[in-house]
Amino acid sequence: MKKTIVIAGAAGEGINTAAQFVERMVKEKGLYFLSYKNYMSRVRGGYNFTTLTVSDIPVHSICEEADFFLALNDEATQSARAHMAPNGMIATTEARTGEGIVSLKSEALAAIKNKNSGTMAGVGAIAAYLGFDKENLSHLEQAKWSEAINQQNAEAAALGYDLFKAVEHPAWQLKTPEKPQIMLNGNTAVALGAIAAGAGFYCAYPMAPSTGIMAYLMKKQKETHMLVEQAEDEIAAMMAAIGAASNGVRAMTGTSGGGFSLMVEALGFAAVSEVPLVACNVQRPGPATGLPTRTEQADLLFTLFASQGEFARIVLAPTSVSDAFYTTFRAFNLAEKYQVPVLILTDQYLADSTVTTDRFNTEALKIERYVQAAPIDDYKRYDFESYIGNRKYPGIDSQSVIMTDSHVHDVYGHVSEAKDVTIALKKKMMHKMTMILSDLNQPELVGVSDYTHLLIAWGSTAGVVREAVQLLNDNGQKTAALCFSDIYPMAENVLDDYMKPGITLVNVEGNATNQFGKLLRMETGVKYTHSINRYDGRPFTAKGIMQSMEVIINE
Amino acid sequence: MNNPFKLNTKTTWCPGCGNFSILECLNQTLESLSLTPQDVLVVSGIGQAAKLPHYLHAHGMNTLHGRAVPAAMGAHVANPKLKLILTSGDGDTYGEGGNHLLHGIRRNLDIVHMVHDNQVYGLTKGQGSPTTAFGQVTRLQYDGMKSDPLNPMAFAISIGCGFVARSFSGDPEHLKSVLKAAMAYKGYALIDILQPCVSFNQVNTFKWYKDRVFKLPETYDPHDKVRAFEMAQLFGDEGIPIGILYEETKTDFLGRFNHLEKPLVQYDRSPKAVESLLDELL
Ligand SMILES: Cc1ncc(C[n+]2csc(CCOP(=O)(O)OP(=O)(O)O)c2C)c(N)n1
Ligand code: SF4
Ligand SMILES: [Mg+2]
Repeated sequence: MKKTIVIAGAAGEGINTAAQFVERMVKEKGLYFLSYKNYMSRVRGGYNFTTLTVSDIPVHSICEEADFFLALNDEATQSARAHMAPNGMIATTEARTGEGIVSLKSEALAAIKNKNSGTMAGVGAIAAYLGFDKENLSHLEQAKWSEAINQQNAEAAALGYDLFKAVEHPAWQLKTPEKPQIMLNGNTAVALGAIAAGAGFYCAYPMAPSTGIMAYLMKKQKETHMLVEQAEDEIAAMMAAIGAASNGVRAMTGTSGGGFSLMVEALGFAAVSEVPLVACNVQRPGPATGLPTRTEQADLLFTLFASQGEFARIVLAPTSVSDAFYTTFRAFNLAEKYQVPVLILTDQYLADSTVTTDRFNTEALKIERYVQAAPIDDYKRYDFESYIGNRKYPGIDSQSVIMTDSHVHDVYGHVSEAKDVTIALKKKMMHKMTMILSDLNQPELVGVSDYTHLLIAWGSTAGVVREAVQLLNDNGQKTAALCFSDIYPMAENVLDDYMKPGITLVNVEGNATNQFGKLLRMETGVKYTHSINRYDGRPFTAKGIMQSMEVIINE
Repeated sequence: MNNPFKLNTKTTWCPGCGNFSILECLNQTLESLSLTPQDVLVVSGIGQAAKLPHYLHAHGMNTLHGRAVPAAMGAHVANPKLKLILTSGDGDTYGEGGNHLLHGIRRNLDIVHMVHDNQVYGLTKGQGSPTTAFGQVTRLQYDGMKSDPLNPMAFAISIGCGFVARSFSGDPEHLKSVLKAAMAYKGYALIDILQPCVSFNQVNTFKWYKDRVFKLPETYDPHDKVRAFEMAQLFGDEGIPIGILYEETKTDFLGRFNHLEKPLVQYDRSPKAVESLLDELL
């Protein structure tokens, strides 16, 4: 059972507040949801909406058809019709009635002199629509508001609740909560992953949609004993992270494509100087400034190949909010194990989607530093034969002297132009790529085992594809999806277990050029025959993928 | 006893280059302060000057062109116990890295930043640098420099740098005394060191500098910002003052974070740190 609520209006009209209140109620009920902000890159005005899909199972995909549409102004009310599911209901703060439209306006509501009263009445109506008790509305105060405002809001919400309760609407059965759920978005999950991994330093420059990572870490820096610093630019951000990481502190930076473009030279520095760096690129549509508050998966090949020369790196692309936590945690262990930069690739959809998910389990998490603490005579920081566990940093013992260098260098870190040194350093970096493979996770296969169509997806799209496969198979199709979270390096035989005679391979990506499809072909020689692409700045939906698949299946 | 910072490596500097004297002065100053190589981290960017970390025995970071300052910041927050020295060229510091210098000073990192100012790009063979004089002909700018030169001292004073000094590689005693004062200073200590480049700067030669530098008189008060700014205007034929132009006490970068009780590198960390944060998300 799934219901989609859309809250639409102009920026500044309380969409976020309303959405937060609804999220809180839904979570208290122990239900799963995914809530996604569709906002324009401006502070006031514009046409924005939040989509909240509520279900009794985990949600990975938004739904574009609203079962309930809360319109906070006239423009929203007018455009609501185009977004409705069959039998959907529209509630509006405007004086408007008609088939399937309920106006929240009343004399009693007008008597509450508060600019948000209409929005709050809408929150009440949503509670009634979802079949919640009126009781659930009692926790909707916000600490930052005065008691009088909170009181007015509660009254407005109650009016909306009563008003809607009296309207005939489809009922649905709620199941009772099983275990406490946590509520967070992808950016917070990445931040928590870093904290769990013991990161001590985070340095970044603000850029949507990545800023949330820094904002969360900054807010928590006291209790986590971290230092979080806003850099003067992204080059500084990555260089500072490298400076800290090469001095024994787990360090991270985060940005979006524009900032990542500036970090490119520093990335190569981390690689050649074998500094365990973790960086997150929260993708938004490019090129250049692109669409700051929207989503795309078009930085994959850039992230994979960014920076001059050849070197080892790891690229990970979490498929869900929960995966973002565990993957970020792992990123730090991998970075220190192989002394390579690890790049986490998320996107605005994952970063800004708020979900309820099972509480993260830290029992099995172990911080592994791979350092050599004991003094060693004639220590060679860059020993070409030694890959794991030979790491020292300044101050780790009382005798070593450590050189971190950006040139081709000898085993001590001193500049060298010798042929054998150049080759040995290159070979070391290349061999790391092979070694890393053994630590990366296989893609996850979901769906039926006797599939006729195999969908390929990575990152946040993999979550959506998972739901699409379910929908398709519920309709009698035989499909499966191969979901990639660990992207690179990629094993030559990664598809061997899944390619069967006669199956159709469909590549699904949030970009125009099928970048992952190209990578697969490059590394495995296997070519997809069909693709589903989205590049309008909006996330995929399970239903959209299902519809595209039906066309492909019926070809 | 031998100076523990001295390394017997071959350098790739040209014979007669001012960099040799700067390296020697740094080695002697570090030794005179009873520091050990394990106490010191020397960070640099890229250039002739920036090769210096390879030529002495201490922890080093030879980073990227222009990017030494942020790398030094990261190193410093990780482990402030290391005595932090940044040594790089005028192009590296004032050109490619100009933005980082500005913000490093704003943060007031506790650092000694030595700029080997040869008024030219040495490593890339003689192009103009931000401190090359207007109209000066270089290997690239055959028709003379078309930009006005940067005045690094006035710049640093105006943006609030707490220790602004100038010295000359041709006066080792002076350079060592300024270095020593900079090491004792808690905060951003910027030293612009006039350094003849014998290969690519035929204008600002050893003699050119020698004929123009003069030591600030003992009566000079480096705490007078307006006077310092006035002094900083002098360069060229009217003489070049060397010494500590400006000094001011202010809280250094890490002193501005009161939530850390010890260096970041000394914290023991555990995944359990997220438990209370997860509770907040319930
Ligand atoms: C990103 C980047 N751009 C350009 C260069 C080439 N480069 C190396 S050093 C240098 C200028 C060096 O001048 P300066 O910093 O004054 O040092 P000097 O050699 O004079 O000591 C340049 C342009 C580089 N290494 N990296
Ligand atoms: S090129 Fe100039 S600065 Fe570089 S080593 Fe030679 S003399 Fe010194
Ligand atoms: Mg120079």
